[in-house]
Amino acid sequence: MDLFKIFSKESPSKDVAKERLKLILIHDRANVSPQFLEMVKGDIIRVISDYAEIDQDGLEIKLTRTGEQNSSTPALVANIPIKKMKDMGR
Amino acid sequence: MGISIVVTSGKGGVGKTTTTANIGTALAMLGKKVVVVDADTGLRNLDLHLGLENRIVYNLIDVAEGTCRLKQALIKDKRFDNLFLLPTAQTKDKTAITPSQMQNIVETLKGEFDYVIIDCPAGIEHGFENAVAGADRAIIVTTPEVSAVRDADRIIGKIEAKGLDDHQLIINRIKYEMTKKGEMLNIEDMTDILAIKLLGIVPDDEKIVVSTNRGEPAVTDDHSKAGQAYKNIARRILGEEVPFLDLEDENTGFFGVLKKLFKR
Amino acid sequence: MSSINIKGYRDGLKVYVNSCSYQQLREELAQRIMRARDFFTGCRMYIVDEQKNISLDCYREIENYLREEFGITLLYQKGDKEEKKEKIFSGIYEGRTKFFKNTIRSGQRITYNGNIVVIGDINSGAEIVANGNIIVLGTLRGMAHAGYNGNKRAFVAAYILQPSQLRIADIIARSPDERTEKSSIPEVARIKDDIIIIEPYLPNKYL
Repeated sequence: MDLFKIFSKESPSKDVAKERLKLILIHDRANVSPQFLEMVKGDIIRVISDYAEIDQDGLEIKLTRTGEQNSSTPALVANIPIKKMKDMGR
Repeated sequence: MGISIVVTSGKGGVGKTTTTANIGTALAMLGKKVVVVDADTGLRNLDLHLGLENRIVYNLIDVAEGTCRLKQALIKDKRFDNLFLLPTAQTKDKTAITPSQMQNIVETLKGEFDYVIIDCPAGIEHGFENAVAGADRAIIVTTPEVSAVRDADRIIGKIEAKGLDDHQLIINRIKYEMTKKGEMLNIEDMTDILAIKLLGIVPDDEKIVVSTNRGEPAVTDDHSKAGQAYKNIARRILGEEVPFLDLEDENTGFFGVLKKLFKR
Repeated sequence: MSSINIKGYRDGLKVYVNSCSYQQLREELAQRIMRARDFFTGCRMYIVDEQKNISLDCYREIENYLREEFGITLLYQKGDKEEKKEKIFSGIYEGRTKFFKNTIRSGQRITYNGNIVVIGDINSGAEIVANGNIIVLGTLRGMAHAGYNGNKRAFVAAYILQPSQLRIADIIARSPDERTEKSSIPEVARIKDDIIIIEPYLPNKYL
């Protein structure tokens, strides 16, 4: 049965369910509100802006888990597109 | 002094009441003196599962308000002399009783019975607080669906915050065929996510509907797979080591039996 | 109908509570007293609550309220035999009647100090409590209690009588556990020799 699995592109729906659940539960357990994330986002923009010019609309911040597989420790991941580094920092 | 166990889930419709009725009946069949308590005031159903709905005169709320004595509100089961039901009111709401009143009632019942099994309402509000108030142990019921598992996680967090650390999981309505194909969360997935000790697995069984229709818990039917699972759960509650039902054998019929023979 | 009636007696005023909540009672009582404050101030008052809508805690609250606001002494109705006899609702041949023109659903409880007529069904899990008779022009599946405050001659009649439980006065009967055949004609339940019996309704034969 597992042989077929290798060839099929779609992962079984229970794995999708499990992945989704893990992410949801990280959010639920951390009890983080969207407002909180917005606040963090605002502060990050403020700090980074001193050193670099960033694309504020492209800034993405989310709560996920740490890199290790199956870890359930929450991690804050931010994706900050930098347009140009400022000179003063160097 | 007996033990009080609350059966809870967060999400509705996962089988709390069925579980309560079956575990209660199974423990009584094993010779224990048991009372099942319906804490779902305003939406009571435990009486229907046991087929005792036409015997109710007084209820939990009457006891709390002092309208009657606790003994008067207890209804003896029609099959087992050592099984009792404490129904709740259908025409009141959940604020009609407080957690401390509930705790007192459960404490008193523990003096009389070996096991006090409390059927918790869905949700995390007043009714949940009442049901959990007097409990020594908790059984969390979930089904292999993302929504049920998420709610179970929330409930586990809630009861742990109350210091109720003695909790175990029942996974209800497992469909073996689907888990085999990877189309349904399996037992490992759920125990992995919820990180809680497993008390039992109950297979999806159409006969449960028939049992509820008749008001006869599945454990009274020797041919019911779900009933067998609940009997095993009852024995585990008593501290026995009972292996989990081998769902594969249950479902593959003839070949399952053959395989079992070859294993030996 | 208002939720309370006040009547004067030799030993004080009696407030008769009809089917109403504690909140309603309190509001209406305060209103009535305000309208004739001088008349009420310093009097003795009884509250007659036949349907027991008011809990003991609420009694105490009303008692304190009346004493502090108006100097009214609230006395408890003494449960002597004469009073009790007087309290039993006897208007089952002729008397006040309340009509309901809808389905009474699970979780609903209807109480009335008189007869109740329901034009509709009473579903399982609903409760109908009357001090007089109960007549259901529909199917009775829930719990019906006629003659709640002791009238043993009260009856329950329904087009289709399948209650989970029937009570008349202080006698309780429950439906049989095994399935019974449904009656195709209306039925009437009443007390005979201290048990509740159910008879088919035959025109001109009953009452």
